[in-house]
Parts: sequence; structure tokens; C-alpha cells
Amino acid sequence: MLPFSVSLTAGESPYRQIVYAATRAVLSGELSPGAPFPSVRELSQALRINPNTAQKVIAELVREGLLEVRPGIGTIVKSGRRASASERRRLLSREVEQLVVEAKRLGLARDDVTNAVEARWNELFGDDAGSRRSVR
Amino acid sequence: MNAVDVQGLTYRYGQTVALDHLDLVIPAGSIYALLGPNGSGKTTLLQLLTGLRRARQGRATVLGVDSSALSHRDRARIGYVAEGQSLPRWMRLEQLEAYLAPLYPTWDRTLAAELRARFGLKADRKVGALSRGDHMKAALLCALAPRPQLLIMDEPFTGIDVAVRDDLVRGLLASAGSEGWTVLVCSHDVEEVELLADHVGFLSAGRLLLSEPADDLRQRFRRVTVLLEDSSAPPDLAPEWLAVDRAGQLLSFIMPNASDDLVARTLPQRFPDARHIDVSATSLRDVFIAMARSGAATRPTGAVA
Amino acid sequence: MTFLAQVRHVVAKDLREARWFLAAYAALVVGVTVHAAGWFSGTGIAGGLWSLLVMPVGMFAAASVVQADPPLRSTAFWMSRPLASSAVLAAKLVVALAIVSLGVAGQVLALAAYDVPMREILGSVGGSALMFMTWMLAASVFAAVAADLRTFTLLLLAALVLAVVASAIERIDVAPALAAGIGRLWTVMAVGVATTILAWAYRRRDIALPLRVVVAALVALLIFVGPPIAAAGAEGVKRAPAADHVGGRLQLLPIDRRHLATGVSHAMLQVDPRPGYSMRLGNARMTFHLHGGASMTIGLDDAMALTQFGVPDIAGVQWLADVGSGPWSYGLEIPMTAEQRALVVRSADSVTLEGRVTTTVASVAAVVPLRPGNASASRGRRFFIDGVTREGDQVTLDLMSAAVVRPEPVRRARSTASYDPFATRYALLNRSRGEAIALTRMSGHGSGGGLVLPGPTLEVHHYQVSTAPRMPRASASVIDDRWLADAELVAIDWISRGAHQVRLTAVVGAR
Repeated sequence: MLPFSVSLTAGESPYRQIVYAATRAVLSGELSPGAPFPSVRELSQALRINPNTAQKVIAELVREGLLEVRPGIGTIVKSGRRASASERRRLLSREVEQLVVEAKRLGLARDDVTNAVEARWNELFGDDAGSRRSVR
Repeated sequence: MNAVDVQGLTYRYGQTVALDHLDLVIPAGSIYALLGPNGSGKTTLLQLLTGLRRARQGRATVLGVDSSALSHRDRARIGYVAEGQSLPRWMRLEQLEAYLAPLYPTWDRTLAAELRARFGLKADRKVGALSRGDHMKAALLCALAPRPQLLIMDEPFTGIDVAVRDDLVRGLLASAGSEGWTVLVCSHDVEEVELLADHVGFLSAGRLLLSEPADDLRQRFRRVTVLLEDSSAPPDLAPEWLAVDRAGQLLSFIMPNASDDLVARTLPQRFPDARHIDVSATSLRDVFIAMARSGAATRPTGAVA
Repeated sequence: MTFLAQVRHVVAKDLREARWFLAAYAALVVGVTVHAAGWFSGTGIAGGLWSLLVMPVGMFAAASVVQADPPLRSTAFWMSRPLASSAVLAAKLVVALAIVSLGVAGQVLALAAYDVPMREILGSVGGSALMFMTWMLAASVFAAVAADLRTFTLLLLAALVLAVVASAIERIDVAPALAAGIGRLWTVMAVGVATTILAWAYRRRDIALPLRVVVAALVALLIFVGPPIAAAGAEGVKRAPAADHVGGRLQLLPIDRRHLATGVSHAMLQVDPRPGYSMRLGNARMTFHLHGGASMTIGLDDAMALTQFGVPDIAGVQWLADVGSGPWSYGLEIPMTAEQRALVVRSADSVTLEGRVTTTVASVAAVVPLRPGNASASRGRRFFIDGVTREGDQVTLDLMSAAVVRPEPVRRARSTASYDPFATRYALLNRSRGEAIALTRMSGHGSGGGLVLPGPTLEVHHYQVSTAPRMPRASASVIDDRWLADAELVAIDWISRGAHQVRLTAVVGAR
């Protein structure tokens, strides 16, 4: 079991999918700063991927500054890495894309979409329209 | 260096041509999945690579050595697991390991014990009494324990149930050495190898229809679904599209050479009246079904659709 | 792993893998050896059908060992492992050699049990071993090209049928010495070819089916149908010594014309044999020399024994019931027509007898103290006393003799046997009294069979011998229990001493 949620689907590069899921997890706080990140072996076993691919994933995440390697401890989530609002918005881009395209197919207008979003938000979270304050 | 390098390889069984001037390169350190329908020549190719058969024409180089001249020292670096391979039925598992261990300078007893535990195999069971799944596990154990530089597997999943397949794959991944190794897997079972392989090849009637990194393959094959208007003219289909299917107002096909640019530009051109064009990723499974049905070579090209 | 280490490794595995086959083979060899050597039964009882199984079981053991690591099956376990083909092949050959060696050991023990001289054992066993190894190699080649043991069995049966058919048809008339030479050369060549084929198969690992069939046929022809291997095999267990071929004096007595005129015509031959010698006359013809230079030749009947009651010449021994040492007169019957007789009576002057005299000498083969249950082995034979009975002065013995006989070369004229095991005679000897009496064979029957390996065979004879028909000379000696208590059984061979031509002349007289 991995400390972040990832579910691989066929059709897309496993490497990209994992990088994306891990990035999402770090930026959303699902993986807290300083938490240990799975080793190459653990990633490979849990997701049934080539250890080489797991290696590449971790290398990329380190390169992007999401993980750091501490000698003697292993790979951990880098602390002090906060996602900007724009980064977080970018993480939502896939879902936004789906929503917009599907609405267009059904012949709905832009306002229909925003109204629907607002209605559902209120149902789930009440009138609280606030967001976490961006640090930057 | 390439782990495997095949050039112009041809092999015949009497009149039947099993491999037809085959060229294949497997880069070192990759997991290469060789897919293809029955009778496409996969087993023959693997037997040629391990020196079990000799080719009349062409050349196959394995770990830098000509496959028809593999010495016993070379074989110590190559692991081979095949569906029909017979382990000595009378030996107990521990006897089998004791027989094989001295033959390999790099036999790792700890790994062997770990795999035995992971696979749930008892050391005192006779090989002949093993179920099919356990037999395959034992064969894989014998191939992995020497920490080979090249592992060749011919249909390791056939007739094996899902849980055992999972064990096999995990055992395989757990044995990956830190130095890196190359794995060549030949299977009908696309789904099992889909996420595992980083290189993919498709063999049909003795010819390699494609061979490229899996990610590239996923990039360029896209499934397109077009919702047409009732009144629109008959669709203008490109000849290289695969699995073209039409029902009612929906038209579906697979583009073999898609790129973001191509998709964005050409599809609206071809289907100006379409109400909606949906482009999505295809699984390798869909790609190969489509290819098996079409049988046509679809090498990556830069052609405009 | 070094080459030798690999060979040792594979041999150890093979011995384990084929342990049941090998155990069966070992048990068979031990059983057949014990049986043939007659250690438990006093005399050898020909192994009969069991010894026929030794080679086939050995071949099956070898085949199963080859098929444990077959050279031409792409799914074979050893093929993708780090084992050198040459090491695997060497291991198979080592096991084959071990199988042959066990059979050879049994054969050596069996022959030694009959007191066959070591030099002759080695010569004989060499031929048997070579033949066995050849068949083992053939079996190995068949096992290499066959997909499984069932196919192998079919191939083997086909080859054996072929061999039987070929031996029935073939007629090779070659001089014996040449046949022996060719036989050995052929065997060596067959061994070489079979081994080469095996090495090639193990190296190549991949031979198409048509080629496999050709290979199997070639080996079958080479090994099973070639000139008889037996010709290259064992030499005689006993050789004829330098001939001292004159067995005594012969003299043709003058013929009385008047005797010729009446009834059956005879010429009298005076025979004075040397002590212990016996003579036989063959190819005889009488030539009557007539007035005026003409002559008439009449051929006589075949092969006549000139000495009927020969006994061996044992120093210091007087033979009871001996009819004496001669000379005797032997009547040669001359078959003449009435005209021929008239002509001879009228005008024959002299007569010449020409013929070929074959000489044998009585030689003591073995001496066994006369007690039921005693046995003695000597130079390839064992004599066993089953029982002794005495009625008055008539003594009857039940005997068994087992003889190791060199193999009969197939389709080769039977060369003069140096001794004929069927012609053994017996006598009772009492050394302390200096007396001996010859025994007559009353009845007997024999059987034959193999030892352990092909090559020399064992012939077993049961006899009843007795003093009965002989009239004891008037002497103080009487054969009673005390006489028998000190007595020994003597086995006597008539050893060939060769032959010579004779030409005897006598006058035809008394006109």
C-alpha cells in the first residue's frame, strides 16, 4: 500500500501517471512534508512496474523539488514546498477539461456550468466559499 | 550496448517460414514485451536467441555473443523460462536447486530462499507433483536465482491463474538487481505486461510490425470517436486508420500516428460537420487487437493523415 | 565449472535419476553371474533366458540416461543451462561404460569360476565388451533421435528385426581369418561412427526429422546388420597344441585271394596304437594293382575308428577291464561288385590303402575325489558328481559337466575343435592301489545357454556312466566300498593331434 493514492490505467504512460499522482499528493498535502516516500522497490512492487521506471519517477520528482534524498534515511517529501494557487489550479485542469467538454456536448451554456458548480459546493461545504490563503 | 541484436534472421520448418528476415534490437536494461498472435514465430525466435535452434540465414547476437555459438559460460548469464520446458520430474525442489547452483557462478542462495518463500514453494516437494502454476514458479525461481543479465520468458502466463500471475510478476520485480538487467517477455497476455514493459514489439507471420518504447506507442495511437450529423456526407477515411467502426451517428477508429498537433488540425478538417470529436488514449490491448486484425505494418511516420 | 566437474555433476544426477533401471540391471547381472558360475548349485546351470536380458536391460538403462538430457529436444532441461554439450555427452558415455563394465565384471567372474586361464578370459571378454559397447552406442543414438522411450523401443525393435532378417539372408563366404579381421575393424568403425553421431547431435542441438531418420537407419545398418560381430569375439577356450600326429603303427596285412572270393570282402589292418592314442581313418580308398599295369580303385566307407578301447596313459596305473593295448586287427570292409571281385581274384597282384588318419590323444582334464557333491573346475570346465551307486562290482555314477565353449562363428565352417566337450570320457582311478577302470556312458543329455555377456556359451551335460559292460580281468582286485573310498573320478579329453596321410601296401597272394 502506498501512502498516496494512485491508480494506473492502461493507455497512458505509467511514468507520467505516477509522477502526476505523486505531484498531486505532495501539493495537496496528502503527503506531508518530511514524510518518507516509497523506495524504488516498494513503488515497483506496489504498482507492478519496472524498477527502472520507478527510478525515473523518483528522479523526476527530486528534480522538480518535490522530494529530497537524505543520506541514511532515504527519500522524503521535501518540506517547504508549497503549491501556489496557479499550480493547484493546474492540478485540477483534467477535471475542468472533462466538465467543460461534457457540458458543451450536452448543449449547456457556460453559466449553466458555473451555477451547477456553485450549487453542489454549497450542498457539500455550506456557504463557505473560502479557500486556503495562498502563501504567495 | 544492446542486450539482443537480430539482423535478417530467417528460420523455416520445412516449407513454412517461421521468421522472415527479422530485425530486432532490445536495449540493455529494458523490459521488452514481444506480442503477437499464435504461430507468429515468437517461440521460434526465443529458441533461436537461446541457441536451442540454429538459423539458416541471418544473425542473432545475445549479450554480445552470437547465439549459435553460446558457450556454457555465456549461458550462465542468461535465464530462460518457457511454457513447455520440462524440469526433471523426479527431483525435489531442493535437489533441483542443488543441481543448478554449482553451474552458475552468480547463483544467489538468499534470493532463491526469498523467492521460494514468496512463491510459497516447499523445498521437499517433487517437481512432478507440482501444479501448473507452482511448476512455473519453480522454473522462474531457477531462472532468477542466478541473477541473469538477460531473462527470456516464453509465454509464462499461459494456463496460470490470476493470483499466480501476480506472484510471478512480483517475484520477477523483486529480483531485479541493482546492476540492471534486461527482460524479454513473450506473451499473449497484453494486460499482464502492459504496465510492466517499457519496450514493445509486435510479431506477425514472422515479421516485426513494430518495435518501440511503450510510451511512444501510447503517444501515437489514439482512439477517436466522432459524432456525426445525420446529414453529413460519408466520412473521408484515411487508409492507415485501424479498427474503423460505424454505428448510427457514431464513428470510431484508431489513429496510429497521432500527435497533438495532428489531432487538433486534421480531424476538424476531415469531419467539418461533426457535432463532437472525442480523442482518448488507447490501451496496448486495443492497439494490438487492431493490429492483429489489420496485419499491416504501421511504423511511426510523420505523414499527414 | 570445469569440464571434468561438469561431467561428474551430470553423472551423479544420471545415476540418481536412472537408479531403478540401474538397480534392475545390477540385480540381473549379479543373478545371472551367480547362476552361470554355479556357485550355489555346484555346477553352472546355463542362464538360459535370463542372460539374454542383460544386454537389452543395459541398453534401456543407457537409453533412459540419454533421454534424461536429450540432445535434440528444444524443451530439454539441460539445453538452456550452462552445461557444455561435450560434458553432457561425456557423462552419458561414462554411464554407458559403467553399465558395460558391470556386465564385464560378471562375465570375468563367471569365466574364472570355470578356471579359464586369465589370458583367455581377457581375450574373450574384450570381444564381448566391444560388442556390448557397440550395442549401447546404437541404443544411445536411437535414444538421442527418438522423442521418448516408446519411440526408442520401436526403433530398437525395428533394428533387431532388421538384424534377424539380414542374418537369414546374408551369406558371406570369407576365409575365417579375414572374417575375424573385418569383424574387428567393422566394430571399431561402428563405435567410431556412433560416437561421432552422438557428439554431433549434442553439439548441434537441432536436427530436422528426415535427417534423424537417416541417422537412425545408418546406425542400424552399421551395427546390427554388419558382418558378424561374433567373428571378432572370443577365441577358443582351448587351443590345439603342436601336432604330434602319428598315433601308432599301421600295417596292411596280405590279402588272401581266396578270402576275397567268398562273402564280404575284408582287408585286415593291424593297428598298434601308442599308449593313450586313438586313430581314425577317413577318405580311404583301396587300389588293386592288376596284371599288366592296370589298377582299380575302390573308395571305402567314411571315417572309421581304428581304436575302440583307448585309455589314457597314466603312469603307474593298471587298467582293470582293459582289453589290452593291442596290436589289434581291424577289418576294413571293401564294397565290391561281383565283377570287381572276380577281376581282383583273377588278376590282382597287390593292393594299396591310402587315406587320412586323424589322431587324438587321451588327456586327463580333471580329477575329482569321488564323493557325491564334489566338484572341480579345470581350464574352462567343471565336473560335478551327483551320485555314486554300487551293485556288486558294478559302479554307476551320475555326473554333470559344464563347459565354457567358444562361440560358434556364424556361417563359418566349424574349424577342428581342439576338444569336443561331447566326447569326454570318464574313468575311476585309485592311485594308492595303482588301478583304474574306464567308464562307459550309459545315457546323457545336454543343454546350452549364455553366461553373462554374449560370447562364450555354457554347455551343461548330465550323464550316467557305469563300469557295467566291461569284463574285469582276472585279478585280485575287486571294486568294493574300500576301493571306492580312495577313488577319484577322472575326466578324459581326446585332444586332436592333427592328421596325416597314410599309404600302405600289401600283396594279394595265395594263388
